[in-house]
Amino acid sequence: MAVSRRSSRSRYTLVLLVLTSITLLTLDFRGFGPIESARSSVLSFFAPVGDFASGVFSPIGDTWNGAFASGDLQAENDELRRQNDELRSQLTANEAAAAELDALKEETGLAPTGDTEAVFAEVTTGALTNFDESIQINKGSSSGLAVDMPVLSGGVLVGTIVTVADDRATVRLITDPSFQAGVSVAGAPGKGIVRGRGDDRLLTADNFSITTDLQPDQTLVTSSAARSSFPPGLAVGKIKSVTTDDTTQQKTADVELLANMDDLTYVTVLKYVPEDGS
Amino acid sequence: MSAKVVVRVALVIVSAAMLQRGLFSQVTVAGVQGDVMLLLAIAGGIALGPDRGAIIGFIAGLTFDLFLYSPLGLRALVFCLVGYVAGRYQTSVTRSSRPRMMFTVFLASVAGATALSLVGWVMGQSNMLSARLPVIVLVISLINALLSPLAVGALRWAWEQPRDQAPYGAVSYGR
Repeated sequence: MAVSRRSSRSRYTLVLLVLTSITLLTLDFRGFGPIESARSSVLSFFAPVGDFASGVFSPIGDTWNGAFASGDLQAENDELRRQNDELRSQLTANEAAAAELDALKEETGLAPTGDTEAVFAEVTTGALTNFDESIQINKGSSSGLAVDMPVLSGGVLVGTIVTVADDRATVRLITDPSFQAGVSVAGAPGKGIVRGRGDDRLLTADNFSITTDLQPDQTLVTSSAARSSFPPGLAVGKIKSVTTDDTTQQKTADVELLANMDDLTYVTVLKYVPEDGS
Repeated sequence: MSAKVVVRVALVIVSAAMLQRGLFSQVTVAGVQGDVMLLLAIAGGIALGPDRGAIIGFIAGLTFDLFLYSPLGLRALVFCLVGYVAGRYQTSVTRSSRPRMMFTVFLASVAGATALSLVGWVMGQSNMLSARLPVIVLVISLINALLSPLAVGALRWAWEQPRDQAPYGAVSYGR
């Protein structure tokens, strides 16, 4: 008798908790404001404790990674040296190209990205779980950051800010399946949408008209769509392969990321506000 | 539930969240991070019974949901169910030992991590269902099984549950 009463009480508890969870999920999906405030408060409150924990455990992490990932580190060093040599040779050419691009943007009425104020930030925490596509940075609203501002690494788009606390912000990475941005091929007509797919290396770009000339190795940049959260011309990735769907009359592309998402240590946040203020 | 228990449970859950953030975000096995909050839900069910397991799972999941940019309530929903099921399963166990408890945590972690991926995928988190899922589930379950004695001990301490005084639906270990 007593066991039966306890059993029904535990079922009642479970039903209550399940209903509460479903209510929270519904509110979150509907963009309920106080949930964002709660997230900001948690971010703000636990940031110092989290930094302390990261500091305490970092020697363990370093030792572990040194012991079990030394092969990867060697390969990474070699790759970085190769990239460094490549970048040095590209630097001179890029300076001239950047000046030319700014002039062109001015002529076409697009504000050069260089005019947008930028905030340099350090990544304090990477992904917290295996399914997490976000990072935390050490700058927040006290540095003028706000939700939806674009985040770059090495001049390449890597995400947007989704939660802001006083001196912390959470960045949703470009690889997150809910991420999307309007893109176009650099220097060519035709617009599409790039989306994350939970892959550290690849994105999907779709909604391109069948007449758009998409070719492998072309660079995709953010487009100048109205009310876009991104300034036009930010590099996103390189087209890897293209498929054409004759039924929908659209082209879709696999896009290789230009940024190394495994190794984000410092990022730049552009204090970009779309012109109509939305 | 006394104020002391509330403070202790909060301490255990926040410590686990900090362990996840400080240690398991840096230390990976085959590129996979452990999931201490899932372990806490399962350990809650095993050590304290189904209703308390569901409560611990809900709080642990909700805490983690607030840290992450994923639907709020996703982990709270899955973890409270996992805590409850682990507690219910424990009621059917007549003889228990530490290896058996670790095996139970392993199986519950397999079920919990898989359920989390499926529910997340249904809710639009398409990255939660990938070809890597079996590896992720296996590593999470192994880590959780290894850490389970610590988690069960911490929750018994938090809820002032002596080892030799098992509540309804929970069994003591190590004898």
